[in-house]
Amino acid sequence: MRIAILSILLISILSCAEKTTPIDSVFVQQQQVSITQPRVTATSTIIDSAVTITAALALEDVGIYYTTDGTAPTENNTKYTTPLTVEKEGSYSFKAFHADWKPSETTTLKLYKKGIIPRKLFWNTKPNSKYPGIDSITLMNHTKGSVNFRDTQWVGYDTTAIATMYFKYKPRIKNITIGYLIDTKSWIFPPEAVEVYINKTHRIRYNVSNIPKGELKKLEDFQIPINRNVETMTIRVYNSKLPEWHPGKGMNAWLFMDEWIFNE
Amino acid sequence: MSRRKFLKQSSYLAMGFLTYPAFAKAFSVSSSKDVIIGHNAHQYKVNLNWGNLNPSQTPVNDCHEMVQDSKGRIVLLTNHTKNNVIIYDKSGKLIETWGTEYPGAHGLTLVKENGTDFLFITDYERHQIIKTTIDGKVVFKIDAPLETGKYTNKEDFKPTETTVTKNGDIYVADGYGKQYITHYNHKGELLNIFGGQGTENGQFLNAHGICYDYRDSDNPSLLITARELNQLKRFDLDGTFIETIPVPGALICRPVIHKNDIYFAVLRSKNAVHDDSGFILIMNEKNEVVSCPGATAPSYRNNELDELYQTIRLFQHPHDVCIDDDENMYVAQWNSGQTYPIKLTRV
Repeated sequence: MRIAILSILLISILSCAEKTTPIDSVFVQQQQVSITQPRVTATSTIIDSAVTITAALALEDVGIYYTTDGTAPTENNTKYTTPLTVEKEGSYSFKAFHADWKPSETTTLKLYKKGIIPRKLFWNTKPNSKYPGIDSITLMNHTKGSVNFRDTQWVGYDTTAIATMYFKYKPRIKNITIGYLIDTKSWIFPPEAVEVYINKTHRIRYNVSNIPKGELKKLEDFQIPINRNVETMTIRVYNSKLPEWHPGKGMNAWLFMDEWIFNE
Repeated sequence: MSRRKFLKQSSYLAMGFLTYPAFAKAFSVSSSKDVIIGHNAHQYKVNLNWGNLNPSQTPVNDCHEMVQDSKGRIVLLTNHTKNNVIIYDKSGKLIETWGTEYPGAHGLTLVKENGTDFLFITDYERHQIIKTTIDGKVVFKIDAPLETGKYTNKEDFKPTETTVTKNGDIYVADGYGKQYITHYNHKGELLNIFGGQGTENGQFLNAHGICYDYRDSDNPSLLITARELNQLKRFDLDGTFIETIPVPGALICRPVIHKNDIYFAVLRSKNAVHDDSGFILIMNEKNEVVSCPGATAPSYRNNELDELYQTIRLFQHPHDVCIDDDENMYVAQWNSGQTYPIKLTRV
């Protein structure tokens, strides 16, 4: 019994001696602060044949792991070593791990498949003169915007956006992807609703429900199911009102869109 | 929840674990180690709790700038008008506070005149520069330089920083206003004005900080940051442009010379996802970046510096640094949840 007590004492003394620093250290300890999320870029986020994704975080001994199914990466996933060439649309997520620092937030890059291009496009309303995009086909130029609303890939409206499109050979369109920006500090919110008029015979209304509940800045999109052969289509995207919590509550929110994709 | 509160709670949690012997060993191996930031000869341990005070008694808003006075005390300038100036000892203990009339308190410069300390405060809301004694008595004020013809009303003048040369001349950077640098004699009489808004060699976008560079005593000069351009610019004392030193990706606030090196708080990383992406930058006497605590290790390719960016989410918006006589650094932060300065201990 005495020996047992002695060994317990000895073990606890030894384990104390192993500590590199007393625990009452005033300094920041390992695994107390997070790493910055990896910088992820792609040659294009709309895939024609293939794109190349690069992830970077210039921190010594960092390990970046990734997934291709939209889940948050762990150190059990594939380790990123060289740029990835991908052909498939979807969400590619990257997260950084390090012995000294807590894991980073996840950076997710969403890739889209290139859609059908309308034969003719006619704008019934004009964007705000400050945010006209590059030209009248900015929403169909296969290029997404960045999180910076001043990026000319964004077309900004403070009213309803209405456009009419004509398609050659009446292709079957499965759905439409509408890409938009949320930047609540800059009064940029998701649209309130979208109405799609197909071949002058059908009308689809799509209500957008994800109103941000606090400060947020990110790229978003939604898909509106169509499942029809389409000759003509009119799209009306309604801008929303600023919510109760926002300093500008009740006033018109900005609507910023970067791309409309007509998926087969 | 503020970052500091969060970190404090996490460390309490960690200590809680330690009271269970079964976890003690695992914890000591995996987590009980001081982490070190920075590169080459400039590496530091981080104390997030330095200078914490009771916010109901001694509050801060933005912690804008810090200097060390002749007595070795650390002087902090904040735009909280309950106590614009907070004076600490090096251990972070509060010594005294003063100042209730500086709503736009921003720039803080210490000057020694015949062995006596004086302070220059820039206030961008009062559109003024105020010279005070070290205990807060006003010596004189400098108003907007309307006589230069560059300003039509005083509200256009939003000075962010001052520097004082060996002979007592004062230079003021109008970093939040029209981007001019004004030059005065030691009495505050106007001598010259140069700079202005733009991207040309002799111009600025956000002329945020200015500093008298006396390291080469035969050729003293002025170092001025163009924060939005991620550039440091050098001028002679007459306002003639000499050179631009690019620091890609780094929004440098003001140059602080300590011995042979220049230290900068970097407000944020230019292309970061999050706004609160600041770090610290240290440049040697050859204008080479040698250490970036909290960010990427500086690297040069064909004499060009690679883009710098935050790699750990330690700093939020660093706004100024002060290096004390022990080579330790204090970091004052803007828009960082009313947190007190962070101390970095050099290792």
